[in-house]
Amino acid sequence: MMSRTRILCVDDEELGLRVRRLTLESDGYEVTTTSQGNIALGMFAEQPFDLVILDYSMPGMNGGELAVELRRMRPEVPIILLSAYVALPQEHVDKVDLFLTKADPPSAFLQHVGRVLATGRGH
Amino acid sequence: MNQKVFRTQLVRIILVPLALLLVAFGVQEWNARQLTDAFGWVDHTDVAISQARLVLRTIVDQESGLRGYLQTHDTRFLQQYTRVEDILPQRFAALRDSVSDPEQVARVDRIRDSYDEWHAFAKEAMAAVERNDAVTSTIGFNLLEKDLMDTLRRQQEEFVRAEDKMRESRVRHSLRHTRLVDWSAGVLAALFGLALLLETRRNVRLVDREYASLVAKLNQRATELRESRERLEVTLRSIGDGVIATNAEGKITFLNAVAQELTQFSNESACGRTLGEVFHVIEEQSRERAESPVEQVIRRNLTVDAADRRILLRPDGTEIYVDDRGAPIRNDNGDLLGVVLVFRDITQQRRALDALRSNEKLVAAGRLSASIAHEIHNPLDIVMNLLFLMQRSEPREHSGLMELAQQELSRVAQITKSMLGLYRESPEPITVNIGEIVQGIDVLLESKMRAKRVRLNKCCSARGEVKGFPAELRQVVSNLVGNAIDAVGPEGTVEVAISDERMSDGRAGVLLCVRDNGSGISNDKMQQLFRPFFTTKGEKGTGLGLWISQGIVEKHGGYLEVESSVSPGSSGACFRVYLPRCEGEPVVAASVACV
Repeated sequence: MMSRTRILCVDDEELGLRVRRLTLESDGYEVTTTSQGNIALGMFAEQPFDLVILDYSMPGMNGGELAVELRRMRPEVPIILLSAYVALPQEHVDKVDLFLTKADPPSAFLQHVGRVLATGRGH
Repeated sequence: MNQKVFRTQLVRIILVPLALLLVAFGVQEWNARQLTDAFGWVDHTDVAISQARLVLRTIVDQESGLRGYLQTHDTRFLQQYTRVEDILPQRFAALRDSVSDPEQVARVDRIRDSYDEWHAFAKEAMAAVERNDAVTSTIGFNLLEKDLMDTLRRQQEEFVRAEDKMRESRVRHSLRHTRLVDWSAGVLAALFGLALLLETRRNVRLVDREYASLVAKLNQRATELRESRERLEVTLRSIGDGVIATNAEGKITFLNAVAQELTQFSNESACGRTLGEVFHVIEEQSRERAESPVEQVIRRNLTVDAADRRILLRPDGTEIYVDDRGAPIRNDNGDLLGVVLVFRDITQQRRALDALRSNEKLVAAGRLSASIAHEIHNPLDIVMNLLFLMQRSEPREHSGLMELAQQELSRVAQITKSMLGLYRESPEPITVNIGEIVQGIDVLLESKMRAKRVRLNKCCSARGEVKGFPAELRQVVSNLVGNAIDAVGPEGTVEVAISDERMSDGRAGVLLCVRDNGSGISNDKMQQLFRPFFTTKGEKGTGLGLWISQGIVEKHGGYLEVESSVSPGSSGACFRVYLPRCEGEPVVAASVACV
């Protein structure tokens, strides 16, 4: 049996994280969630992931900083930065494969996820 | 020529001629005495001659009396004889006294001796008459008597001739002396004249030299004064500021070119008017007539800086913003001679500042929009995902998802309501509750604080009601709290407190205190904190926040204070905003609410 695509999802907004997980799962992805950046780093070190979706504004380490750490560990894993802000500092946007705004329709979001997974790193 | 030399010269000018006059007087006095003496001797001779003649005439009179008696034997003829008997010794004594020459004295003595001889003969003759002796009528007797008288006459003539000779010699001597005096007076006058001429020439030359040097000095001073005056005039003309000078009564005495242009009054038309007529300034806010700095200077005798929110009304109806400063003009004794007013047109500057303020408002609005977008995007994202999931799920699962969606939509409504409340703007100052503004700010900055895990402690011991413009006051609170959040490190603490406090001038006030435990503000940064474009946030900051906040606070009649410490362990900053409290509000609120 072919293993399902594994996605790590990090967001401090608990309800938003739960709903996003359901949306991604409805498209057949295997989703692991956490609301804290340092826990996410531990998970990423121990488990294989095909994609990471990060919220930007989080306590402690923000999404951009977390992306830098993840990149250092496994540069081949694509990262999507998802934020409620319409604009983010360019240096953080440059660190990730795709930057999406939270209010986009879920169907569009899923399409972006599919495309990033298909093309992998270097998108 | 200094004053000492000048005085010496003056004394010399007076003393030298005086000394010369005294010498001349002395010489002439001596001459006069000599001359008097000489003429005295001539007079003396005349006196001696007349005495000699008098003596002879007296003797002749006595002889006449004697002859009469001898011829008639009538004693009445003897009256003349006896009458001069007592006088003659005196006349002889006078004659004796009138001569000093030994030869003349000898002659007088000889005359006296001859008289005595005649007198003895006369007594003898009278005795003979009394005896009735006829001897007196003899020729021999009469010849003897004639001899005696002739001797007397001859001796008297000798005496007179000798005196005449002496007189001639004395007159000659006197005339010689007179000529000498004339000559000496002439020579003396010439010498003194020469001396005076030389002295006067020397003095005239000295004075001339000094006068020339004085004139040169005066010319130099006049040139310096003219140059200094020209420099001053050029400076006043070229200066970019308007300058108005008044006398001690506040009447205008001078306007420079800039002042003429700004006030639209020429120097001629303004001079003599009161300052208020030419420099008509009003307060920007109240539009009431402002007291001119000159009036304040005259009243307080101090340099006065006016606030920059003043408007100059000009004769053509236009208005310009002015920044003015008045200073007293005093003489060396410190008496007020007048006032100088320096002012400039700050209209362009004010427009630029207003533009900057508008810009900062736009930036603030932009930041607010971003915050709103962020706060709304989260629940919106959840709702959209929930709807998406509902599309993909069985209807029985819908109610749970709908309930969640409902909750998130309520959150959106709550957020927009708070935002609108914050942005309620009023054209007139209204009662604003600072406590409510602080509560509203919480919503805006929540995500920022959550991201940094910053704790915000609010402590409101008063309602903090002030009169003002809500949006502007919200901008101040948001700026100060936002800065505090930026200043603290992760898990830092920001405290916001509202209390009733007396203001520095004694008015009842509201104190908003925003304190953080960040790294503090260094002294050099403290100096620049309220200057426009000063920021410690790099590209994230505009550098206008605190500058605008201060402007807003001052516009509301309040003031802003800041204190800070950079000592490790107790570092942090505290911004205190004092605003005048609304009248009628109780000093202490009923309850103290700290969150």
